[in-house]
Amino acid sequence: MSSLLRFSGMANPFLRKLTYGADLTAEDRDLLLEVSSNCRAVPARTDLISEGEEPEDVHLVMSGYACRYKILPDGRRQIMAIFVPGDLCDLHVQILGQMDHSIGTLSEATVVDIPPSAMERLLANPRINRGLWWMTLVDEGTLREWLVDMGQRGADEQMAHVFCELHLRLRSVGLAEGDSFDLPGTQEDLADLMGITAVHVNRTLAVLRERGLIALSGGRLVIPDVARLRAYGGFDPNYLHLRDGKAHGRSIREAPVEQ
Amino acid sequence: MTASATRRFFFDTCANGILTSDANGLLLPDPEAARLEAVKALPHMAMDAAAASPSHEFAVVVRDSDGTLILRAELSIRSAWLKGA
Repeated sequence: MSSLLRFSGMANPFLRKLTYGADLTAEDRDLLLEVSSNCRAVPARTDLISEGEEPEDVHLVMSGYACRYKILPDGRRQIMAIFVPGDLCDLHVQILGQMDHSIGTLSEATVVDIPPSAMERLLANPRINRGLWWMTLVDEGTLREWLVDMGQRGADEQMAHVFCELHLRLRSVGLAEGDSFDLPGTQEDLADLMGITAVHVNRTLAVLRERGLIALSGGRLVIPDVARLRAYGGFDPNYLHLRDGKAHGRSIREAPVEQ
Repeated sequence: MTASATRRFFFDTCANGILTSDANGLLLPDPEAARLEAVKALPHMAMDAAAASPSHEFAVVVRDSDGTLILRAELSIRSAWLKGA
């Protein structure tokens, strides 16, 4: 399938995401579509880049899920970030000489490897440069929120919070139709993401399901009442900064912020 | 990344009398790995429980894929006022 057709125009999640953080011209959009046109399919559970490697290309997720993780010598793993379509995994790597963590896919994914020459073109454009800064700052805000999740929220609140975040991030790039999306990986992946055991993940999923906050079918999660799940998880989307999409007066219909 | 998974074990949990049965299970290499998973889950369950009541009981019961109960792991938390407090 031609990735150019599949991810053309606003179906391109990278372009779609950047419109929240930058006021893009038609030429900027063409440039973003051009640098994100060369997709490749990556199987699930495959490293895009591993700890210790010297990075060259920046990785952009166009479909599926990837994550940022670190493994301890005895095999324990912590997932520090999830990447959904439209996310750049490692914008910073061209400045840092060596990877201090790994980035790998959780599901089958479509990825673009953006070479340094293309990154230079993006960074030389002041509007896109601002958008990339915005992306980096949102990533930091998300990491702060996950720290709050891990340090202060109970597992049921934390799981609700993570699901609300994924839902909104996917919605903001035109995915998660019907308030439903694939779980990002297995129960073990969720456990490593939340910093709890897989048994406790199973238990917590069952608790949320029994309370009618989520429904699960296969690996797919359905949120019957988004506002209710948000209230349960104490989810405030402020840290995703999706309202900054003042660009060209576009309404952010896909990212409703219910107060 | 994970060891070769050979058997599915199910972990029913009970927190303060409320039972949550496990429909998914986990693939683990042997019963000892299942015991470890059960024991490691207990402190997480305890952390999630409200501290309002003076005592808490947590348990994990492990079933194998035939439905045979193979292990029970428990954790109790008790607090009581001492005289003069």
